[in-house]
Amino acid sequence: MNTRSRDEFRDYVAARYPSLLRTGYLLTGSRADGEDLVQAALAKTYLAWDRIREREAVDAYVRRIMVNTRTSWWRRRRLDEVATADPPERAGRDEAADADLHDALWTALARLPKRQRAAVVLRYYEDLSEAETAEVLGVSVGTVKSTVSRALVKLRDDADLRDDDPRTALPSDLLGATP
Amino acid sequence: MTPIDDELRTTLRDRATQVPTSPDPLAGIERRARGIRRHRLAAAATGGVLALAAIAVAVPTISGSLDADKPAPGSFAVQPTDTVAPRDTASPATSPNASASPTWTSTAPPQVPTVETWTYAGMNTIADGANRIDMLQKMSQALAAHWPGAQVTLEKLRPLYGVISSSDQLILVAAGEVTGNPQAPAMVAAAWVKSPNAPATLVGLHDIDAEAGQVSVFVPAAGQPGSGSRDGTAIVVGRAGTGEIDLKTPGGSWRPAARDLVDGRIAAFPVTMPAAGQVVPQIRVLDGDGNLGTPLYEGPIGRGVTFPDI
Repeated sequence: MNTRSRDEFRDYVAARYPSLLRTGYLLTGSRADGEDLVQAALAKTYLAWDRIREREAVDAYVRRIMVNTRTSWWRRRRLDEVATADPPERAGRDEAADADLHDALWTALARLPKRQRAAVVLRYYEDLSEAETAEVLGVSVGTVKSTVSRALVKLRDDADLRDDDPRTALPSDLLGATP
Repeated sequence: MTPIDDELRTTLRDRATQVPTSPDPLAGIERRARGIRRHRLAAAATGGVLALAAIAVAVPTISGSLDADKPAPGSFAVQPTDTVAPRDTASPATSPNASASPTWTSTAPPQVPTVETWTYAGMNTIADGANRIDMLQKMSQALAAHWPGAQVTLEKLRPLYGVISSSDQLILVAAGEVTGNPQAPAMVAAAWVKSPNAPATLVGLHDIDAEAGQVSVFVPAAGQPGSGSRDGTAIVVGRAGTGEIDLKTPGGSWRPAARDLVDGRIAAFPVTMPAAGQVVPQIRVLDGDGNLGTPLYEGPIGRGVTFPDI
């Protein structure tokens, strides 16, 4: 990589790293894992930088690497795609009235299969369209729709969001909502 | 929009805002990139590459020569663009400073790397000095045709497998790190074949620019053009952890490609390549648990693939 390319890459990292880090965190549920994921994706992007001509497409490229790397790590660790009994680390407690609900929703998100979680993060955090999400995930638009739909059903059915504690139970109108 | 949509957005955004950023991530990223580069060669050497070398005779869909300027009579050929192509977002290099002629950094007898993380499988004599240097030069010639100045140097070449086929062809599969042109693939793997009474030729060259777990497939062809035969030998080099290599011919079912795997991850077996337009035989590589749900690789013989697909 020559000096000019390196400067371009440095500018890109400076501008986009915080946003990518947030996405990495949401994909993994852990700040450390999220940072690891983003760094791995950006290292691969660094190596391919001179071959990426459309700079405006870099974000999509990096996101795709992140999702695939996340899947690759998961495969390597040979974990089954089942709900985990241990919720991921929680950030500091929020004193807002609906913090408990959001904590429970966050925990329920961690129980989603990796692909469903990625689809939810891309759709609801990154605000990507279904077509853009399909591009990042490497699947069809129809698959994105069904994946997100199944994820929402799982969230609504999650035990923590259906318990008797009114602080963490989803309101009844959410339980009955359809995507 | 439903209420749960709103709750999801709020939850995700609330959580995201709690993530502090690192002060200087670039140094870590560059360090990691250098590590990946180093790891790629080691990964290929330790079996991070799956290479399939189908040595078929006169496959009609494969024509041309990697020795572009001097095609050898009686030798097969592969158009480099069939197997090594710039990424979608790139085009062949046009660097004004690059030389159109490949150069070799060394013509000295090959040296055994001091750190040999990969155990060469097959017949050691095939990866001897002359063959290795010839392969090295042909790889660099093929690369330089697309990316001026790109080359594989002797110290960056790792032979993976060598065999003498039933038709007395010497077949050598190796991986190497590419230098000299940043637009060229960072890592390539190649298959080299020397048939009796014919010059050695490069029959497959693939971009394997990815971390461990990437898959590359070769479809070399060798022999006498016009013979009409499409029989040959397929060689699959699976990555570390490979437990089973299967073959499925058109209309057939999956079966082990070879009775015994060499070095636990290499299979060599006869194969008949189909005529153009017909269904191509499939290969499947399973891990040591034989997990059918998540094969390490599954795909057709004869197509370069990147795994994972990024």
